[in-house]
Amino acid sequence: MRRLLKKQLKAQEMNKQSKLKLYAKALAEIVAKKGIDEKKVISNFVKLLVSSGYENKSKEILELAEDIILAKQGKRKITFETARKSTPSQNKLLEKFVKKGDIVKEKINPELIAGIKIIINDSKQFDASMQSKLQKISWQKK
Amino acid sequence: MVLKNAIDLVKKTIVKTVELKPEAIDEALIKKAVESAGNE
Repeated sequence: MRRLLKKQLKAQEMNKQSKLKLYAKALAEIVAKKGIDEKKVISNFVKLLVSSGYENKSKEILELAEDIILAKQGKRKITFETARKSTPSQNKLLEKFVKKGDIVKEKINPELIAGIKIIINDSKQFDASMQSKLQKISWQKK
Repeated sequence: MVLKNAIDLVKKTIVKTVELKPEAIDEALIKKAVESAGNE
């Protein structure tokens, strides 16, 4: 009984996620069209979200739509997570990595101790933080 | 137990070392990250 319930809950969750992706894809496709009345489209889209009970998921849908649009344009969303505010010489190093059109976000996370985490499109991650290096020391002992 | 203490001691030493020259260590690690991310 519990397993069945778990399965059903998992299926419902997956269904919700795929619906969110569908809404995001639809929004991305509409926005990409030229000569549309943006205000009207957005207002209709918000109405659609409210009527289908997804208004509280609008942020998630917008982020997914942004990812789809960026991927279509061949652009990247890059997050630089550092332990402290980066110095001008560090910024120069980071600028070498950024391409024209990339959307760059900076995040400060003192838990990293030192170094950086580079996250591309919320999927690829390059972790050169001291935190991860210290964790590896613990891992190696096992 | 001894190994755990040794690991904790090494970790503390590394953290203290970082505190001495955080910018220099940051820069070295950032350089590495940019190189490996750029090669992908």
